[in-house]
Amino acid sequence: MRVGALFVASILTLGLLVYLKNAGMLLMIGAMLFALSLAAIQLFISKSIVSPLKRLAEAVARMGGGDLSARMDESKAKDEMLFLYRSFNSYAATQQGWVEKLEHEIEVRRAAEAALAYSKSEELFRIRFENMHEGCQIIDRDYRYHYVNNAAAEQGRMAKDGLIGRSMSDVFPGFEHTEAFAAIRNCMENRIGVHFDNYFSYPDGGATWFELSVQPAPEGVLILSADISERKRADSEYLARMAAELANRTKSDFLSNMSHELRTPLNSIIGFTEVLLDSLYGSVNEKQHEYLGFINSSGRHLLTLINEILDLSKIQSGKRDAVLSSFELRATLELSLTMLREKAKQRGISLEGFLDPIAGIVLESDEQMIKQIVFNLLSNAVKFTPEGGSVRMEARTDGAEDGVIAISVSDTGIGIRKEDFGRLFTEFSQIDSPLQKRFEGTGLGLAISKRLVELLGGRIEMQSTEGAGSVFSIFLPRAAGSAVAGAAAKARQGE
Amino acid sequence: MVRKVLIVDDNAHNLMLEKDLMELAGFVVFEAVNAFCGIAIARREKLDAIIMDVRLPDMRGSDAALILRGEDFSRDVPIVFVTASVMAEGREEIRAIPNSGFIGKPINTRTFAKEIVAFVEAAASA
Repeated sequence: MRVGALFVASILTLGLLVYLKNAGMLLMIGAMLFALSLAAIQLFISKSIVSPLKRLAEAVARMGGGDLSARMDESKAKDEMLFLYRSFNSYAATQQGWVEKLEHEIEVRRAAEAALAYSKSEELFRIRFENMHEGCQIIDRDYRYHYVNNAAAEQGRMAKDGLIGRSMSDVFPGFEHTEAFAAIRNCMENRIGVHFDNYFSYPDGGATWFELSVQPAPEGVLILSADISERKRADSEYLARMAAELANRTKSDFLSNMSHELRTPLNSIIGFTEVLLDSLYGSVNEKQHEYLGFINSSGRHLLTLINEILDLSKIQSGKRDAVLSSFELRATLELSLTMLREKAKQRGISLEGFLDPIAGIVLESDEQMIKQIVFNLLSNAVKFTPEGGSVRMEARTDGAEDGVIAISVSDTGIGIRKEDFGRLFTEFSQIDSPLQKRFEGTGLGLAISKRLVELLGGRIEMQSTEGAGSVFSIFLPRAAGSAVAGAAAKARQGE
Repeated sequence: MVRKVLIVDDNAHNLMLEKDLMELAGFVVFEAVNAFCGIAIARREKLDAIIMDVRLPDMRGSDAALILRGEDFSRDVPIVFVTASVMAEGREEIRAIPNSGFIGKPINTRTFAKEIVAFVEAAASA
């Protein structure tokens, strides 16, 4: 405004001087005045317009650089410049307000997100603890349940909800007297962790093996527990198996020693009586001969007993393996008949075989075992049949399942009482009736025969009428292969 | 020609029984109650056969046999083990001894000497 007035005044002065017609001088004076006014104008413009604008530009630049606190000093501006400053300050204040508000909101949101993430990870941990296979419980310093996961509650056979806040001895009466509790208390008081196996007894009976790890925790103690009953069972089974094996070996060593120790004197008893009976050093009289015969047969009886005990023991411990071969059954059975023919004849017993139905049949089995079984049945029949009686062996393929041969030995002997049927096939069970004379034998023959038949995949059956006779039948598969493998495994397991 | 047999057995009665049977079969019998004495006799006498128990007081009959097999004087003398250890382990132990036989106790007095003679003759012809 002032500048305009000064400018107008200068022009008017110039016009006036021109009007005064003092052209040359006037022109010079006019030019000087003009120059003077120009300088004044320049000074004025610089002070009242350029500097404030410069400061304003600097403030804008500061704002642009992020300093929202930049403000213009309103006391140093007038008129339009003051208006400009105010506008700027107002704008800057608004901007600053907005940014601060945004920053605050971001801060709030960030905190919320962090809190959410934290609670999420805690939840994750909680879920993991809740559902882990091992039991996890935190006991507070008053021995109350502070935290119990699902597995721990299940292991304790308790509802989880009812546990928290209750004391251990309240939940499990008498628990405070157990070794496990002593270990927990020791950890609670001395802050030292401990790891041990515990056989935990439930209040309502029963007990389970747990592996416990008790560690100090800020709340009290942390107990991790794992059910190790399976492992303990496996351990005890392993120990039992070891013990059985040891017992078996001890038994086998014992039997081997016993056999040796008994055979040594028996060698003298049987040998010397034979030398005398055979009159190798001169003859003995009839009475002496008879008595020597008693000694000799008693010695032989003892020997049979030893052999059968060894045999039975071998079968029982699975050491008697079937040796499979192909052979014609009829020839094998006839050989057994031949072996007993002389004895039957001595006792006036007829011994007959009816083996035509199995002519040409070849068995895949253990011939030695079958010989032993059949010989045993035949010699029993001959032994228990009175003079003048008869013993017959029959073999057939019908009357039994497919692929099975039935061999039966029947006699007209003393028979067996019904009440004795059950123990007939067990060891040392020779039936001894007070009315009948005791028969020679070890009482092991049938037990051995039964086990051998089973080893070959067959079975043995008996029918008898007391006083009329007995029939023993064995049923043998033509091919014993798979049965032998199974029976051998079973025999070993059964030990 | 007289045939000579050595019997090594620590049981006096068994030794006597075997001696009787071998003498009755025409053998000259030397007796030893342990492996040490048996080896000494084998070194001194030219034997046709050795009858050897397995459980001897000073060593196993099988070990004594290994010693005998390692010496020139007894390398080829047939050895028949006569033992009461008739179970599988007992037989396993002597299986490795060359030119050896096995008879279990109690012996059969009626066939004992014959079995020894048969074994000696089989060994001689082999």
